[in-house]
Amino acid sequence: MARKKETAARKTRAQTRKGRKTERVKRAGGAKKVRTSAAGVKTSTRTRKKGEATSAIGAKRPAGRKRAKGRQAGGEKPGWRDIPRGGLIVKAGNAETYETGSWRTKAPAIDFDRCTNCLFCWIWCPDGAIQVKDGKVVGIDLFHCKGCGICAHECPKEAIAMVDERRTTHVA
Amino acid sequence: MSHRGRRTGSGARVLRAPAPAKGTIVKALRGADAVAEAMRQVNPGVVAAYPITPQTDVVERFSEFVADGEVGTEFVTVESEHSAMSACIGAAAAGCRVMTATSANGLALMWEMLYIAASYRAPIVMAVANRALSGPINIHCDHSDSMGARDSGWIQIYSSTVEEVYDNVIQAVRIGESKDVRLPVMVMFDGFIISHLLERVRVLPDKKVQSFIGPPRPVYSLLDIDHPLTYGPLDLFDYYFEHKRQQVDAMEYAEKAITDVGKEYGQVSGRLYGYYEAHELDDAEVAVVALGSTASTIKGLIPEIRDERIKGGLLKVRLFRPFPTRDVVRRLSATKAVAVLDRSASFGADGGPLYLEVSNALGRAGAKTKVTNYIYGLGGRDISHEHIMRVYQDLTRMARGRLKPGTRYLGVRE
Ligand code: SF4
Ligand code: SF4
Repeated sequence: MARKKETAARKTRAQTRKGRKTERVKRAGGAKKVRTSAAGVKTSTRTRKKGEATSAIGAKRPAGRKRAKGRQAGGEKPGWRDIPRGGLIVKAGNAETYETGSWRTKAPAIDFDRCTNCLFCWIWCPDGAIQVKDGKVVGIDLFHCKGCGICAHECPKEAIAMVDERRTTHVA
Repeated sequence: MSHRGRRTGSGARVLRAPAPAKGTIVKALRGADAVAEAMRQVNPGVVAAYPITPQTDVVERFSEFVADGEVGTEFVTVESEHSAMSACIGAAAAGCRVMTATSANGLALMWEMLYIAASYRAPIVMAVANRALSGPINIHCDHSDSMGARDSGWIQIYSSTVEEVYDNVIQAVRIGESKDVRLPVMVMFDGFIISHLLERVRVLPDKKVQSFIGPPRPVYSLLDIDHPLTYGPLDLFDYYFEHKRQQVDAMEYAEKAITDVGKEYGQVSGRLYGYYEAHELDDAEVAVVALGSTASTIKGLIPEIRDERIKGGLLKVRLFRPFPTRDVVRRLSATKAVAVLDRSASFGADGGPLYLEVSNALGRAGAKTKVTNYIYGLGGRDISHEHIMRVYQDLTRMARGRLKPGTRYLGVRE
C-alpha cells in the first residue's frame, strides 16, 4: 500500500513539474484567463490578480489577503495594554486571517483526472483548506493548508500526493 | 502581669471604625464553619471542591447548605483537586461566581490549574486551610502549601482569627471581581489552629453581604452566544510576554482594590481592613513581622513584652500578594531591628519567603534596620510564649550590636 502511494506521489510530482511548465507557457503567451492544475486540468477561470500567490497545483492565497498580523515584524504588533486580557480571543472567526500555511513542508497536489469528487478530503481536512465549488473539488487554499497530509491519506482514489514544498510554491 | 491599654497606631484605627451593621449576630464558629458561612452568604453559582484535611469541614458544611437548599449553588463533586480547579475555571469562564477550598497536597495537585486560573483572569475565590506539604506526610499547619503558590498570580490574603477568615472570604469576592483586577484570590487560614478553633464571630446579616458583593459582574462569558470568544488559545513568543505583563499590572490595580474594598467593608461591618495591622509600632525600637494565627498570638503578648521594658511592636502582614512593600518600609524603617517569622522554609534560599520580601523592601529603601529571620512551626510544631519572648530579647541584643542577624530556627530539636 505504502509503495503504491509512493508511486502515485512520484507520478504526481512529475505531473506537477509538467503542469508548472504549462502555466509558464500560458503566461508567456499573455492569455491568463485559464489556470491549470498540477495535472494540467482546468481548475478555475478567474483571472489572477496582481500579487496574488499561485502555485502549480491550482491553489492560491485568497485575493487581497495580506499576511496575518501575527506574522508581522515585532514593532507592528499591539502592546500589552491593547490586547484582550488573559489571551482571550474576543472576536469570532479570526482564524481565517492567521496564516497556518507557513508551517508546511509538503503541499498536497490533486490529480483531477483521478478525483471522483467524493469530498472525503474536504471532510477530513482539519483546516477547511480544500476548496469546493458546486460540489466539486477545485483546489487547495495554501494560505491555510498546513501540509498535514490527511487529505492524501484519506483519499480513496489516491488522487492526492504530498509533494515537496520547494517544487510547488513561489512559481512566479 | 499588668496589661497596658492599647496604644496608638492600629488600636486607634479599630476605635475609629464605624458601628457594625444592624442585625449582626455573634456566633461561635470554627474557622472552617466561618468559611462555609461566608460561602453560604455569598451564594456562589458554582463550587467545585474535593475534601482534604483540614479543609474538609468547609466543604462538608457547605454541602449541607446545598442539600438543605439554603444556597442555589451548583456543587460539583470532582475526583481530584486538579479537576476541582479545572471545573472552577470552566465555570468562571462561563461567567459564574465561583468558590472552592483546599489544603496542602490538594493545593499542590491544583498547581497547573492555579496558573491557568490566574492567567485566564478568572476571579475564583479559594479558602486555603494552611497545612504542611508532604513528605513525610503531615496534616498540621505550616505555610509551605500557599507559599509555594506565591508566584502563581493569585492574590493571597492571610487571616489570623476566625472572624478575619470570614471577613476575608467576603472581601475576596469583591477584590477579585474588581474592574482591572480580575484575578483569583486565595484566603489563607491556619489549618487546625484556626480551621478547628471555636471563636466568636460577628456574622453580618445575609442581605448586607449580598448588597456588599453585588451581583456577579463577568466581563466575558462563554455562555454569551451572541459574543462568541475563545479561552486558552496557543500563546507563543509573540504574545505570551504581553499577557504576563498584564498580570503584573492587574496586581498593581489589586493594591487599590484591596484598600477600597477594605474601607467599604469597614463601613458595612464596623471592621476596617488594610494591608497590614500595626501594634505598638509608633515608638517601637524592635519589631516582629508575622502572618496568620501567630500574629494574633504575638499581639496578645505585646503588653507583656512592654512590661519587660522592651520597646517592641508587631507588624501583622495581611496581604502576601500583592506584597505591601511601601507599608513595610514606612512602618519599619525607623526601628533598629526586625525579626521576620516564617512558617515555611525555602530550601537553599537566604531565608524564608516573608523574610526575603521584608528584607528586600527595607534594603532597597536604604533603611538601616537590621533584619533577621526565624523559621518556626513547621508541620504544626507549636510556637510558644517563650519562643516569642526569646525573639524580642534577641532583637534587643541585635539592636545593640550584640547579636548578628541570620536565619534561626524556633523550636527545632538540635
Ligand atoms: S478525497 Fe480524493 S477523490 Fe475524493 S474529492 Fe478528495 S481528491 Fe477527489
Ligand atoms: S494537507 Fe492537511 S491541511 Fe492541507 S489540504 Fe490536506 S488535509 Fe487540509
